Amino acid sequence: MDSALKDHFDKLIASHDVVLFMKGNRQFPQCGFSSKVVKMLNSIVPKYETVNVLADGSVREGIKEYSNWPTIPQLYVKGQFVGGCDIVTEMFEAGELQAMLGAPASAPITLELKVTPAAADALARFMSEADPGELIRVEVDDAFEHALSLGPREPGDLEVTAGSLKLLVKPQHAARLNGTSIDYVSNASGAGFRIDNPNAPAKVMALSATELQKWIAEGRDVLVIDVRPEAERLVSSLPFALPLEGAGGEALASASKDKAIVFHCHHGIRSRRAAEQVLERGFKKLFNLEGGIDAWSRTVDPKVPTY
Amino acid sequence: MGADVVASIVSAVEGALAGSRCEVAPGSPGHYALTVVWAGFSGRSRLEQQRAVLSAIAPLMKGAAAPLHAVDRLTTRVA
Repeated sequence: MDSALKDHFDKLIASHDVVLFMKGNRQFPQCGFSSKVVKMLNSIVPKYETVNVLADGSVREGIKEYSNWPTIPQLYVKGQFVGGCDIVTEMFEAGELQAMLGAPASAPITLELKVTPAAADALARFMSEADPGELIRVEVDDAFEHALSLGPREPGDLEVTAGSLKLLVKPQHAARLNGTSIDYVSNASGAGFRIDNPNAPAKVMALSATELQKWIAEGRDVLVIDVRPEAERLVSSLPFALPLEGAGGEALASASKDKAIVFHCHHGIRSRRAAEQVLERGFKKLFNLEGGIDAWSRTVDPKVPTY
Repeated sequence: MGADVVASIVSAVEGALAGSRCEVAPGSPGHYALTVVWAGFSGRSRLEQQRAVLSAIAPLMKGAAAPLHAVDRLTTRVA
């Protein structure tokens, strides 16, 4: 096989304890077998590396040759090829995968949650509506969506003390929630809990036109990329946005992976798709202008024509 | 067609792994689940066991019009 590709695989596997070659990513697995392996890994380790083989045909075919294994997903642990979905499932059911990943069932579970004073106040109000015996439960699903709810203790629940509060966590959520902070924020659009989980992989974040306007006014270091074709850009465009098929694409190619980058189109659909693709390349701070240039015209600057 | 494919999977596996027993359950078109029981698996890791079966059926999975499109589930057991 191509020696550059082989080097790439060698390095990837040597530099991460757990690497999963899969279809899609942790939030959006695009095949049932990949999804199944993601769920098993999620219940054991908070962080691991994934490679979306759908993003690159040479990787998709190359990894099959590299591992001498005909199917995706493929799991590597500590430099060793473990197998595909069937083998991983058998090992998981036998407890061998947990042992291999250094998480024997009897190990003490570290779980720390941070609750800001504002969130503690809000949770205390929440608790005042609780029935006797109910506690606050913190949950996280496989797509790293979080939920807070009131309910009774269930068998196996872990109890975490954060300040004067007691929170319930299901044991299978513990690894993925460790280090999570819970805040309560209020702004013009309302008030609510904000949960920041350091284990969550990067995702495309939503940005409103008014927030973007604030960033531009503050002179924040941000790259705004217009993904629309020229015909649409000629009708209406944002003066600070660079076209993806020109200067924007060039800026993206040389941008650091930590650069804040906002994508926009007409209504926010095409730009989200573009941002999701760029996310696969390892960028960490990607935003989609929700509602696109149309939202900008309607909520920020009516002088920008709608079409 | 489906029955022919099942027969050719069984003969490919049982031919390559002498003395093995192979059961094939068809799923959606082109998809099959395989269970292989063989004394020769003894002392081999799960990975090696699956590799032995996969290499036996590799010719049936080659090309765009391969009769065996995907193995939904492969289970190996020591006889």
